[in-house]
Amino acid sequence: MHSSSSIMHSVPAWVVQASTIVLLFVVWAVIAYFTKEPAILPTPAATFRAMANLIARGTLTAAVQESLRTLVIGCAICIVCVVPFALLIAQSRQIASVLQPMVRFISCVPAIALIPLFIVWFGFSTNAVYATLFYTSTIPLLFSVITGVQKIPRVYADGLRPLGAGQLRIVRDVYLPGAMPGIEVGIRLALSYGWRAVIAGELIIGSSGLGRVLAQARASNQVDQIIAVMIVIAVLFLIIDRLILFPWNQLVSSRWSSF
Amino acid sequence: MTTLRLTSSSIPALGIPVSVVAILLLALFWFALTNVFGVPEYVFPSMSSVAAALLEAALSGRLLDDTSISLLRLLLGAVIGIVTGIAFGFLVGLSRTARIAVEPLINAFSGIAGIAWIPLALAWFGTGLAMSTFVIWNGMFFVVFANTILGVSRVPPAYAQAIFTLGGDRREVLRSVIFPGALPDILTGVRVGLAFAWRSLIAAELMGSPMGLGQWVNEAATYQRTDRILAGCMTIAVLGVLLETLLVSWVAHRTVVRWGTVAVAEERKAL
Amino acid sequence: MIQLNERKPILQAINLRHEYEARGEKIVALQDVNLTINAGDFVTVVGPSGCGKSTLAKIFAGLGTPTSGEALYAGKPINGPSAERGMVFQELAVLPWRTVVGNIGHGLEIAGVPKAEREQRVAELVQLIGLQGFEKKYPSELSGGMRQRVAVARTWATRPPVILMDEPFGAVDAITRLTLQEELIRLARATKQTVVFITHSVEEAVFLGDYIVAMSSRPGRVLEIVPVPDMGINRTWEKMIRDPRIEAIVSRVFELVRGRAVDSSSERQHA
Repeated sequence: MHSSSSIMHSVPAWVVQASTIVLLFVVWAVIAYFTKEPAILPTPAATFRAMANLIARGTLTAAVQESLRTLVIGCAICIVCVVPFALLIAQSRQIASVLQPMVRFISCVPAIALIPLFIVWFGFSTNAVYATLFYTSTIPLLFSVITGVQKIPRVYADGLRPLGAGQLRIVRDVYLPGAMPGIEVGIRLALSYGWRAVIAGELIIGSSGLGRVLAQARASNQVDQIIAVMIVIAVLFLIIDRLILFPWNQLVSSRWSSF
Repeated sequence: MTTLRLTSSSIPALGIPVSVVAILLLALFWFALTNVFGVPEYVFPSMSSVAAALLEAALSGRLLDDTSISLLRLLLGAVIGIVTGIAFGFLVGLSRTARIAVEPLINAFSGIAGIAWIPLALAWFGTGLAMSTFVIWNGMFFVVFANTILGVSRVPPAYAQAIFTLGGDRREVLRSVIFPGALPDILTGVRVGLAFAWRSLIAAELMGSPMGLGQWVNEAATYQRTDRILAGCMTIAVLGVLLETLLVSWVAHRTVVRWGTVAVAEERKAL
Repeated sequence: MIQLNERKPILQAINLRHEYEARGEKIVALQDVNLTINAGDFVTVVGPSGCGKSTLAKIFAGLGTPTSGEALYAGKPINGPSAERGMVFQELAVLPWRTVVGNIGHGLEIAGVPKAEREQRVAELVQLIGLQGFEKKYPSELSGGMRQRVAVARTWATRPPVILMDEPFGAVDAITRLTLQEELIRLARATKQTVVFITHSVEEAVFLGDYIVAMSSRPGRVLEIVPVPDMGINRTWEKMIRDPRIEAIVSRVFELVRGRAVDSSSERQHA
């Protein structure tokens, strides 16, 4: 039985969603137009002018490159170190059951609060941003991979053993493919939490990237620049999330859909 | 590679909870790091100096002042965030078209996240209470909003239909079906939102709010006092956990856990 | 057909047609359905999956609108659900966040029955369905059969003129189902309740109904209305399976519903 409540049934979802975005900008424009306080709320046009200005000066493009480089390199190192470690840990229920609460206790300390410590260690440098990123991304990645392995039904491994499969073959044929959904979720979380960590780190540390541009715009009270950078941050997040991670997620979950 | 054994299901039969073992191990690592391997105090302070820093702060009254200011700021923003998040979540969640329409907004704003709003909040409101309230509201609202929408859309339609055939009207369905049905997801939203808001508040205090735990850590950093930084971090962590247990778990155990509509609440902490 | 004191039509379907779209394909769930159900009848509707029998129940409940044709209650067109036509759902639609008494008394609560009277009537029903001692339990703490009893009692509590039951015992085990069926028969006879009972089990349909509405699938049509001789006090499984008249009816209904089911290669089901 279908409810006939929605009159928009025939309208495609993207049209509805696009009109939401348009509406958001219209509301913003109207409020900005009537308040006439560019120091508090610049018009969308002024904001995009500020964005174009930042691009023309090269500041924005350089900052985007810096932030993305930090994210990609940081996450790559994190994945290379954490995934094999987590796969290894997950082999032993005892070790995993002790390690998980340990990591959970540490993870209660927000990365933000640790940034001052990182600054003391590394100075106001990109290394302090990397530290923030590692701290933030390691935890969800570690947990997702361990959970992913532990979710694999034991019969899969037990079924191979009578066929003469050794431990290495079981790891290759059962644990690695079986842990793929967990690894995928972990990487997705590492990247999306990591992106916020990079921005937050750069903002507070002021070393490089989009966060620094944001901090500088704040210091000189350029609200148009602040909003412009925020838009760039949101769009980049959506691109990372939708274009790269989402299709991959579809691929992994359709291939391993028996889970 | 001796650890590459098949997972055995037995958990160490020590008779003590795993979490206690974990805490003891952590403490042991810490002790070894500073007292055995001789990592210098200014890099990583020893347990005793962190305890001393905590005690000093407690005795001077600074700890209580900063904690209560941070908690008051959080409470104000969080209450507004939860109430508005649930209210708007209901409005949107009940209509499929509205749900589709707000999706890009939720995605975009979750990408900006609480902390990137702080510069704008500082420009708009200065460093006063309005700023922290806005930042916390902002950290809270979208998470609660998105989860309420999810919760409302996941209530089995048969529940509502059954109440209609008992003679209930829309208000009755809202009160006795949709709200309790969406509660597990709402609580998840509040839990995650609190974690977000707590972090955003610390960040806002770090970046210039007078007083508060974040400011305490910030001042400690300017004097390179790692013992105070760590003491502050631990206070922040403990309060974060307490907030979660006191507010969310307390409600959950009296509602969704008792009803059996949620088995074990598990979600990851962000940033 | 058993003779009842009044033979007034209470539910009528006139040239009902219902179609919907699934994966871009138009599916005709009901076609040319004409049916009259009198007050006091216990009617069972049987047919293979996808014959639109659930759709028919929902149209009678007012939870769905036919594409064309008319559904009448007491001579008036049905628009929207009401307390006059209670419904028991296939999904366990008792509310997980209400206790046994909270669920059973819900309809009375909506109808504004005073608390004292409500409690008394709920207590009677609890007794009747044998759930004494479970009054304060939540549905998640009950077995499937108990939960289904609560669902039936909740609908029964307000004594609606018509009760629609959509495969209510589909999810319980075969032995519990026998008990529930016998209890239902006893309850319905004792209260002269009008019941429209939807099932895919031919045995269940024959065992429960005063007459059976046999339906075909895709499009769902009424094939034949098969009366069941009045067994009176002998309406128990043991008596019925040995009665040759009943055997003949079961075979007849099987032939009817399978005739279409086999050649449309849909699944063949029976209890």
